[in-house]
Amino acid sequence: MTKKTLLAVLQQSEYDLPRWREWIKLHQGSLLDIQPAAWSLKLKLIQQLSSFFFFLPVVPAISFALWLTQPGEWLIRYRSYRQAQERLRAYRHQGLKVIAIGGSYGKTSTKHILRHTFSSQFKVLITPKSINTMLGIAQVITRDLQPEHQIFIVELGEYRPGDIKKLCDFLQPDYGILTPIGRQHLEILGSFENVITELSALPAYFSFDPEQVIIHEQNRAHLKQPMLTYGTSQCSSLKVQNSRVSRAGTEFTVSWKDKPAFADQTLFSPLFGEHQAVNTLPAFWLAQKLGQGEASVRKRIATLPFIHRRHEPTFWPQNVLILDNSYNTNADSVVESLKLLNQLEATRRFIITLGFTETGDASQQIHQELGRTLVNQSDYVGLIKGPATSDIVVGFTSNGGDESHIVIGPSQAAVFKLLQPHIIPGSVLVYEGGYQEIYV
Amino acid sequence: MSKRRLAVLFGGISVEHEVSVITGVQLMNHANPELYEVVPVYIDKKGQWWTGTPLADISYFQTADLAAPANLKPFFLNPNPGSNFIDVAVLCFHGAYGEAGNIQGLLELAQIPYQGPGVTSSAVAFDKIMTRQILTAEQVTQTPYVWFTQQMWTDDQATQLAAIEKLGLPIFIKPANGGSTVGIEKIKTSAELVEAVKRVLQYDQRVLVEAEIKDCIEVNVSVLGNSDSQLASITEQPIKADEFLSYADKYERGGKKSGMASATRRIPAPISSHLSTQLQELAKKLFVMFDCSGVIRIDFFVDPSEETIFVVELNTIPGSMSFYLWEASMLPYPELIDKLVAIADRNLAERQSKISSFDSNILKHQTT
Repeated sequence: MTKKTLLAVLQQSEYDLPRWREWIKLHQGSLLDIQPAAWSLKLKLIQQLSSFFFFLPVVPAISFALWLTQPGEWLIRYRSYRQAQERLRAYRHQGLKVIAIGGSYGKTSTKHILRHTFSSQFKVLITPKSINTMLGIAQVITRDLQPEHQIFIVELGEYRPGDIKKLCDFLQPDYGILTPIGRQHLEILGSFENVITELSALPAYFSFDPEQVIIHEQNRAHLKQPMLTYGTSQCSSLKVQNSRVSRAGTEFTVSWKDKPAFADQTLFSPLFGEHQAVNTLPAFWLAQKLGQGEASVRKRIATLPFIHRRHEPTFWPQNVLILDNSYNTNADSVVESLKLLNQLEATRRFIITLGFTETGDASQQIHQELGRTLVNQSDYVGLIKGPATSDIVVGFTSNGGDESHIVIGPSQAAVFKLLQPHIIPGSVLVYEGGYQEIYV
Repeated sequence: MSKRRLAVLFGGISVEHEVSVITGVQLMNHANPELYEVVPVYIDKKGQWWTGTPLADISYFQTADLAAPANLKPFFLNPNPGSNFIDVAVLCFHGAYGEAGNIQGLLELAQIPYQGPGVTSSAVAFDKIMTRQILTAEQVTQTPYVWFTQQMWTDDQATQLAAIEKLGLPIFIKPANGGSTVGIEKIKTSAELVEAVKRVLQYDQRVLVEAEIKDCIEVNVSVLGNSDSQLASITEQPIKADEFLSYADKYERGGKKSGMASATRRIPAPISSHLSTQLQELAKKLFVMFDCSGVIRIDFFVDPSEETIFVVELNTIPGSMSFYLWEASMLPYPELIDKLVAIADRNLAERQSKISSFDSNILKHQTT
């Protein structure tokens, strides 16, 4: 394995040494060639420092170089943190509202939906891409946040126990949104219970005023305190109903417990799936808080732009639709993807996946379960070869799936090529996870 | 059953010559060989008419010297009814002459059935200014516009500029006659205006200037039929890579292999079912209003938030015959061709059923 590949994986592992070593152990002897997503200053520094230890094997050399960068990084982090904190405090005095979004999945979609909805009336800044760590957020504040900004929407990441609380203490958000908690980050947080505990820190931050936070209905079971919820079930305060998905987008109605007249009008969103319709609900709730009219939210939702790699469509000739949801997936969010795949009119349905990442000890069970589910949800399954491949195949065949309807390849592109002869006019294909090179 | 000789006419003296070649070859390759004996009729860029089997293959146009085409025979269309060996024609021209009514007139003289629209409809829909004037008369919502001729511009540039500036910026400046987006300029600042008008006047002596409507997306609908009945297709949104849908966006991005049909587009357009139905109904209404026939494509600007619709233009012979929209509307291309042939026959029968001449003794009493 090349040094560049090891550095790329280290970067994708968030410079978490145990996680990085675990990956190396799993891929021992592999000839993978992975390019770093970006040659950040930190990565360059580790590369150069590690070259001084040419007498050491490459893994210890990189580990040692990483260790050497720690004190400097702590200093940079501290300085950046203080600067960001001061700037944030100053702008909050001028009226800036901070909105924090936490959860296992749906954060990025919710963030983009909020930005689009509010940018017609307010000057909005969001944390770009998937930046969600303390350092990343602090850098966005010092680099991009300006006095004219009125709304700052921040995605919160949980990589170590206590991250969400620290981020809340740092940001002091005015409003919070907790998207579904799912079986993700199990490796780094240890267990699903730990994930729940970690993400509960966001609603807990608002214990002084629970009206300032809204949670996805799936989280109700995990949180003791009664809270405002959004989702699709009857007991949610804000709910999506009558959703209908077509190749044009999603039509649905929104009903709000205290506002009976609210559900009269059918809404349209170009984004695909009921789950994306649900992701628009916090915008209605926040619009009320921020003084933006509900009619304006409806109108903005009709022009929502696609979100990169979140069921992002490509329209092929002959009515073939490809939905790219490859950025992220987990054992809970895949349910929405499969539901969407089945709601769309299609002559044949395909799914390309690698399985789920960071599932820890539950990996075998989760992937066999996925294999079993895919039998009834997809005509053909493309598997990107990875640690979960055999478990998915076992699950698929144990549930009566025809093994000749599974193809396995080393990458997304290779799997797609193998499936191409089976794609007929009117097919729908979903890329479910598998984007992150680290796992390929 | 004997096969019908189906003439597919394409090419022509037009800036959209190559686009027409793609449309023509695509159509020939999709016509049902059990029903039709395809007769390719190619008009080269100089206006010479040719026929020959090599014309049914796109590779011929990629390799042959089109200034002196080899392995082809000259084609002559006789305006005398009953003097031609073709049974029915489908016109695949885009742009001047072929889409503007000229060839349609010739076919009507020869009494050869063709899909339409007829001479008047083709000529009027091809002229962007006349199209706008009819829309105004019929109170159909359209984007604000002004128009002028080369002479009006030369005589009083200040008046024309003042009228344009009332539209606000940005604006689109278009030659009155022309398909695709050839010659169209999008202007964002007043400083660019005069030079842009001069450039557009190189394509036509009449110019249309349109205001841009903010927050709109382009949505197209195809309509198939004649005066008796009309079907509207599923909607499409052409995906813009540039400021507006350029010629390259429409036709070149798909690459050689895929041709027009794989230019980036979204089918159906990302609009509500309510808005989609409104568009389809309006498209059918416009089809009748302009006395259309065959398969046409109508381009709209649509604001999905406000659900407002603005008519942009009617394409009486759309690129690729909009077959991709019909395929997505569950009508395969070979069946679309069958329908065009049926419409062609119906149109001719309809024309022939009307009184077009009668016996008169007026000449008997005429001295000189």
